[in-house]
Amino acid sequence: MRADSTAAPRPARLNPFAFPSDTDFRFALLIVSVLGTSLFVYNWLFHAIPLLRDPWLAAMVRCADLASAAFPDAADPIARAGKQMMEAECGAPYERTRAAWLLGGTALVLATASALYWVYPAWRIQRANLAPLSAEDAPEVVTALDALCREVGLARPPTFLWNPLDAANGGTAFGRLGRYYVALSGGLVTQFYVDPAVFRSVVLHELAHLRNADVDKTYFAVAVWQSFVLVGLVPFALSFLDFDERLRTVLDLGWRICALAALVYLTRNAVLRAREIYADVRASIWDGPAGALDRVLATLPRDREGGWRTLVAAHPDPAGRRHALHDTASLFRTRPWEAFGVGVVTSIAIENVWSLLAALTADMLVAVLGPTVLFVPLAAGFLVLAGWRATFAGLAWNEAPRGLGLGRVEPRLGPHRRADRGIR
Amino acid sequence: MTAGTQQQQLVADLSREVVARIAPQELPVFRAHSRAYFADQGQVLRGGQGQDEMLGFGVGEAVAFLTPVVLPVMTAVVQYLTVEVTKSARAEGATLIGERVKQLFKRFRPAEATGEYGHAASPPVLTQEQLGQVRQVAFEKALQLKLSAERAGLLADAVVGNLATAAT
Repeated sequence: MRADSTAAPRPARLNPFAFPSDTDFRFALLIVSVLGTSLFVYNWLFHAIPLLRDPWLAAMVRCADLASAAFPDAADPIARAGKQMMEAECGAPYERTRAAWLLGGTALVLATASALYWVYPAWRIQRANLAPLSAEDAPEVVTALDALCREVGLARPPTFLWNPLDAANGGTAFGRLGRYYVALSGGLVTQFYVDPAVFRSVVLHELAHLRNADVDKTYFAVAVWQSFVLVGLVPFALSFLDFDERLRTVLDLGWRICALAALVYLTRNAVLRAREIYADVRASIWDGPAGALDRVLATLPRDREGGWRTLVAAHPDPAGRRHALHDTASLFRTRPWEAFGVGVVTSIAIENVWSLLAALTADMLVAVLGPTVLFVPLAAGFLVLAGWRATFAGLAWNEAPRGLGLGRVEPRLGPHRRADRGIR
Repeated sequence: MTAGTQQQQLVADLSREVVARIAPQELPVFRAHSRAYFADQGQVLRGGQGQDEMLGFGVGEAVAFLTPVVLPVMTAVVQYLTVEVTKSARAEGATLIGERVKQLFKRFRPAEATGEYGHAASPPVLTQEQLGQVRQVAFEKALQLKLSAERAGLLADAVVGNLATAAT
């Protein structure tokens, strides 16, 4: 059985797997945004916690006094330089303490994220009452799952789990490095007997996540957001409880942290959306034109609001997903918000890493160049990738890419589209 | 085996038969549902959707399992039949009454010639009126469990279809 949208022969699709995926790119963006934002938060916390702030402040004042006494002539440029150097040398141990605090805070965010990522599979198995799906439970289903794993060429098949009481009609791939699971609901297992094509499509979609190697990125992205909230945002909010600060400062910091948190959250959701489209496309290759993937996607509830909500949603719009099954152009196009996001994330990271390096070293060249060397490749990589993909798509479709990265490559459906580089 | 356990086993066996007839695709999940039902009757009826919606994928609508309805319907039917059998055999012990209830179902009905009841106690049968009452009990219980009238009717027919009548 085929849905209307699959009734017409599919045009050849360009192969998005020939390029680094949006999932990878957005995941890198997420990690950088978390690093930058964590440095910002922990820098603030350093100044908000008296136990940390007071000795540092006292040392800075003392060093400034000592330097002023040693180089009293403020009009002499050499004396001014000497004063600056003396201040920096005198305050260096205290600045290193601050740098250690910043690094420790950021490491805490990442360590907590790693711990959450690591324990999540066990927690989920227990919470969702998942048990291994054995041949004793459903022999035909187990045989079919083995066959599907072989068919798609998974080097290491996942452990299939299920919750027979779960009436949902779906599956989820999850796990951690080297240990992956695919959980099936009881509803989906019964679907195997009622509509095997739907069962196959859903399982192929989950196996596609494993083949695309996005499970670790996904669950680390989820964990890093949770960790950021737990050991970043919560301490940040608590710091205001015991901090006698003017409302203006509170508001000034408040909107910044809200914007930064929103950035991290949106980037996380962008990772989650991207992985779904890539998994759909991969699964559709395996499922073939007669597969039921399009039919399954057609049953998903569509976000009626549309617009900005699609940027906030953790799942891509089903209509867009269905479209990507037949036309992968969206995976070759770079959206303006992505370019904007790269700019914002890079700026935040550069500024905060500069602050960190300035605390670690008196060498301003290192402090200024360090973040640049670290993060400019990210922005450059984004531009190169965007241009590369757009040019590839443009050549394949006999169209010149409009602009670098931001250009919309509108594929024209029709006989003139070249299919020689496509996938089916 | 206590009378309660015996009744649970009977309900499970009969329910499985009904499920095999009207929703065979649910047989793989039957054992888990049955176990959960006898452990906590509310749990099965509440159902459970443990899928992580944010990261999962599947058909938009959940499956409407029939098994969680069949089990309580069959419990109600067996309880009704137990009352009916008790009325006509007050002197017999609970275990024996359970045996007689079992034999009201075709599946457990011994062959007439070799039956344990021999000539003195032939296997019990239900009248058409009693069958109608059983169907009503099953139908109403299914409706009470939010099954549609059409599916409730199908289920009630399947339950009655398992019962032995005078003609069988």
